[in-house]
Amino acid sequence: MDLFDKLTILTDSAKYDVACTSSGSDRPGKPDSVGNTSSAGICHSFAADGRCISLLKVLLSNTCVYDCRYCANRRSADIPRAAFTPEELAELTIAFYRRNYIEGLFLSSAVLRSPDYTMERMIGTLSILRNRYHFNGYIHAKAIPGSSPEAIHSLGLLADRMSVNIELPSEASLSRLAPDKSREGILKPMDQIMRTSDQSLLESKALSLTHNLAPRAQQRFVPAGQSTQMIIGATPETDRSIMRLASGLYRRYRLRRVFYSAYIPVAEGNDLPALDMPPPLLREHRLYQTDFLLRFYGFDADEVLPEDAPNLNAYLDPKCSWALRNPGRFPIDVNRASLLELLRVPGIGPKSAERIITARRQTRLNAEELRRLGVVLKRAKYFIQTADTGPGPRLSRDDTVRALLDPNVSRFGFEQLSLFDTIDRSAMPASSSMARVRLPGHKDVPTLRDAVEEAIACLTSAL
Amino acid sequence: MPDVGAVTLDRETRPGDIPARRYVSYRYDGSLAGFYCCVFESYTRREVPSYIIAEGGECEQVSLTPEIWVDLEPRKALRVREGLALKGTLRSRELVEHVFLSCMERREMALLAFIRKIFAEGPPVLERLADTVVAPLLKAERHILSEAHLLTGFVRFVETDAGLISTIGPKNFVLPLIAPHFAGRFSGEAFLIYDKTHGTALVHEPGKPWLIARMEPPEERVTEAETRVQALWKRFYKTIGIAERENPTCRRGHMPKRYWPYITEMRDS
Repeated sequence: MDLFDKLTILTDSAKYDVACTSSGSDRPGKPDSVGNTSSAGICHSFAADGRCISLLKVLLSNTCVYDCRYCANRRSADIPRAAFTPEELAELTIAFYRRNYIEGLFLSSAVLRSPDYTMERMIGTLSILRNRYHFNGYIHAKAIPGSSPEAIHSLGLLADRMSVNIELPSEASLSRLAPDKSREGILKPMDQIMRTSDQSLLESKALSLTHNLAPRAQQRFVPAGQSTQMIIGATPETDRSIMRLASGLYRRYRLRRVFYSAYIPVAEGNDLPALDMPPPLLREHRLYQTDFLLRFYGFDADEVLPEDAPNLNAYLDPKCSWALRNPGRFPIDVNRASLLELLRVPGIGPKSAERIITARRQTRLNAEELRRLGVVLKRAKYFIQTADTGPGPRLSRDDTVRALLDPNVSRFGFEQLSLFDTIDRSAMPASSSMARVRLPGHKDVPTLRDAVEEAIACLTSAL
Repeated sequence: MPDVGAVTLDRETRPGDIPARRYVSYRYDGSLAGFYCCVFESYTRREVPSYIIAEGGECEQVSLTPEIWVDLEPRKALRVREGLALKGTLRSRELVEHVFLSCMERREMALLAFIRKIFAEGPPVLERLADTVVAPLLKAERHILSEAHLLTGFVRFVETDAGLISTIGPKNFVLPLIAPHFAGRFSGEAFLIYDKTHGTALVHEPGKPWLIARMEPPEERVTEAETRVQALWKRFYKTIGIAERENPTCRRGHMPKRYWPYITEMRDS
């Protein structure tokens, strides 16, 4: 088979893997090798779906002995199969890297013969890259579920980042849709990677004390840490249970990232969404927004998704709906509030918050000055008090709710609303008399515009 | 020589350090050192000019004001540069030198105002992020730094007999900012990045320090092997996108159209 066909088949099979980040590793270039890594990561291109292309993301082989129901490469699927030889893939990676097409390689594979056999071939590929080509750029390697601790260790010494996919948001769903995989088989390698990575960091720091070697110049085990991903919308878990799981993973395994992947139907089955279901992209977007609130804004999963409102709001971003549910905490005074309080204001992100804190050492900030700092006041103005505005509530009018509504709702399209809970109480104040107010769903109104108008009316009356 | 008469007059009529706003333009060679000399000139003459014009710069204007040519004198430039770090902090100098490379309109005048503020009031100026003098500089700095970051990804090399060649068309003069990144990454390669906007190239040869020089556009003679690698890359690019998720707005947001003519996989779209 010629290289063009192989590349096409093995890229097509890898495209549903979400992670394409090249962050977390900071390794300077060396005179006798090719490449360096930059801790923020670098996007080299953006695909037609708007996703960043940072790494050459391919499978080593798409022939699989497993038969996971949600997967395009499952054993029973009727698709063309191919495999790279390690030499072939290493050469292609270098050819792309030298032209600055990519930041490095993202290597995954279907389970060819056995997990350990697959891992051996992956290790072979990376070892050619690192040792024959002296490739010093970024490598993300997927740990194959069910492989031995030795194989994981060996792969981890060659990679910057590793990932083990949690696949589905609950054990029940996993055993139903991926009978060959077990929760245990996923969490054990995660635990091993975390411990070994910590140990390796400790050792390299110790070495730098005794030998005066820069820690980043030494060989380390998975210096950029690990990530995972799960499929959203193939199984019935609530947003609350998804985000509680994610937050547990961040804490327990200190993951750098959890990725959420809107399910795209690839197979038929009574226990799977219909083949014509659109991928739940708006819901995926809301989950990422919540993920950011957990990682950079000091929110807890239980605050964003309390027990009595276990699903995210289609019309509002999660921070806005949290703010509307907690009107008593606003307005906050930008000239006095702590960093964490500022981060709770809709429209104020980590950069704006930092700038506010620096700038207010020299002056009492007014609205115009906030604007000059680069703070977007479109939504923030309803929640803050500045040097030129007095205290007091300024919510509860139709036009304010209109301003808070996420303009992205229309970008994602009307049919996305069908994938949300229609009894949406995520933005209702706990004390609201309209606690069971019903936000319009896909079937209640003829057009998106009507849905938005009705949602505004509902939210305004509940305030 | 500065106009001694004007200085004396100022001493009598203006207390302290307040400079006169003069109907006069400074013209300089367009270099950072030359600009620092303009700052020096502004202090010796106790005035703020109406314009500072870079010779041969892209926004060279024909001014109707009387003009003064400011010579590059390394000693003066160094004094301003060191004074900036001393009176302000290293950060104030970094900000000035980033903005100097940016495409901000009339940046020399904006920088002169900032430098005067730093010399008069010291480091606290750097915390006044919302100040009318400071805020536009920070914005211009964010613009150039983000463009430099984008280009560490969007640069595309073509392999030729002479080495790797790339052409870019940035708004800001980013070459000095991206040079260390590429020199570190491809330390063993001979490469050239040509900035079409500024008619300038970054040149690197293995084992030598990189340099930036004005030059004519390089010739790109593409080999057969090169065409094949480009075709493989375009195939990968086409395949990796998920049809069900197509989102042109999102793509344009991350990768603005003005970069496309220089990006191998986007050139034909």
